Amino acid sequence: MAIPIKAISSEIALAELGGDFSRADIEFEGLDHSGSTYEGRIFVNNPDADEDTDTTLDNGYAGSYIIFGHGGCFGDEGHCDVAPRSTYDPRPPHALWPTRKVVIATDAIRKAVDDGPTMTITVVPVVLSTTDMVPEDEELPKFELMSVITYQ
Amino acid sequence: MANGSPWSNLSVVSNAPSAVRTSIVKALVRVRRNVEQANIPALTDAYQKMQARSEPDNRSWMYWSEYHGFNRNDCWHHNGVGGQQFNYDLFLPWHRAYLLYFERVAAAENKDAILPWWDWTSPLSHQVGLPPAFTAGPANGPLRSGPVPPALRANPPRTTRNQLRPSALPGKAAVDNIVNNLTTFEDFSNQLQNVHDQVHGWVRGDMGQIASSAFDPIFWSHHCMIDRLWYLWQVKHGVDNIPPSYLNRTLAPWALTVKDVLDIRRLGYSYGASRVRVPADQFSAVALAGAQPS
Repeated sequence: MAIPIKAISSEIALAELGGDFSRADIEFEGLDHSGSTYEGRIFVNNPDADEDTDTTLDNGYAGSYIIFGHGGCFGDEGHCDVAPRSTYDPRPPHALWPTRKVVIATDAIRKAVDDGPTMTITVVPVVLSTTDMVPEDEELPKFELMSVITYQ
Repeated sequence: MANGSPWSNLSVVSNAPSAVRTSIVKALVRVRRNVEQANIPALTDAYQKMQARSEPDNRSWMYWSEYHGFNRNDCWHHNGVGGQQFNYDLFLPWHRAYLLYFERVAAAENKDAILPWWDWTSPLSHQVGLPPAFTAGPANGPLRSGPVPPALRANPPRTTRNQLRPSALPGKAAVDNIVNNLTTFEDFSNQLQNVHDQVHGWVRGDMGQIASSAFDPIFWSHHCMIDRLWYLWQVKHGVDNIPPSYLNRTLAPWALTVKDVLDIRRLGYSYGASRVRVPADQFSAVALAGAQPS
């Protein structure tokens, strides 16, 4: 069974985002999708949010990304080890190459900018489906980078 | 008009050889319909026959389902764009090709079997969840479950589901917003894939993981809906609206490139809501007044 971990960002200065935008995205790079299927609920300025928090703008809810997980490793040792392909390797990427998710979060980011001057981003994972093949100590979520991007 | 006059045998039927005319009239554009209006008996028959075949048989349910997750892992999920080594997203074209092959295998079992799409945004879906056709009958019915290979697990030998409440399915407004307002392919594909992931996570059970999802019969109608939404997006934003660098990428293991699958009319199917066919020999030909002999 997975071990859901709430991920809370450090304080993010909002001055760089400015207030003049038509769309704001919260992007996650390098997300792991090897195990359980889960919803990553994104809350802005609500580090106390958990799986029972209502998904409303008043609570800072910005949207969710969903990871459709592979459900664990069904191969032999090394089957799910991800490595870059070499230059002349014609095969498609390893199926577990980490992914990118974009949550369109315009209203929540605009509210944060209005409230300023800083904000936090909290990711609350809610497991939707898992298997016996998922390690018992699986930790969710796993990613490399979160970005907030605005578009005029 | 008297027999023998030049006006007695008017016809709009072409002068092409009958074999050509027949092939045109009978050219089959397969219309994929909403599951509520689909030919469910034909689909059931085809799925039943596929599911009865053994795993190594290349007409079998398990053989074709295995391309997706367990054990071939050919599907494109989460292999996205954005500063990574693989800077392209083949989620939509790969699954379009996969459905095309699978549908042809099903049609070989029953020529009237056509993939239906499950509109999980519909009022009915938000009332009852899964389509009634896919929940009726015995647990081993060919639309309720599919066989899984013993190497995946011994028990249970068929797929299971554990769906959430119907109102947790994606809403129409959110999906319409994605289709109507996201104008670039990669932006659209990323957001649509998230909705797609949401539905897999909603059905749960075997549909809840990439490894086992394609063994569940609802998988194919779920992906048919995704393919339809891409088609609707293409109608609005352009059939060839995709980065040029994608066009010649192959959709392994399918013998197709991205370019090959952009236009569904060239693939022999459509999502037309309805269609009435009237062959030319069912038209009457009447001479216009100005053409009549004076």
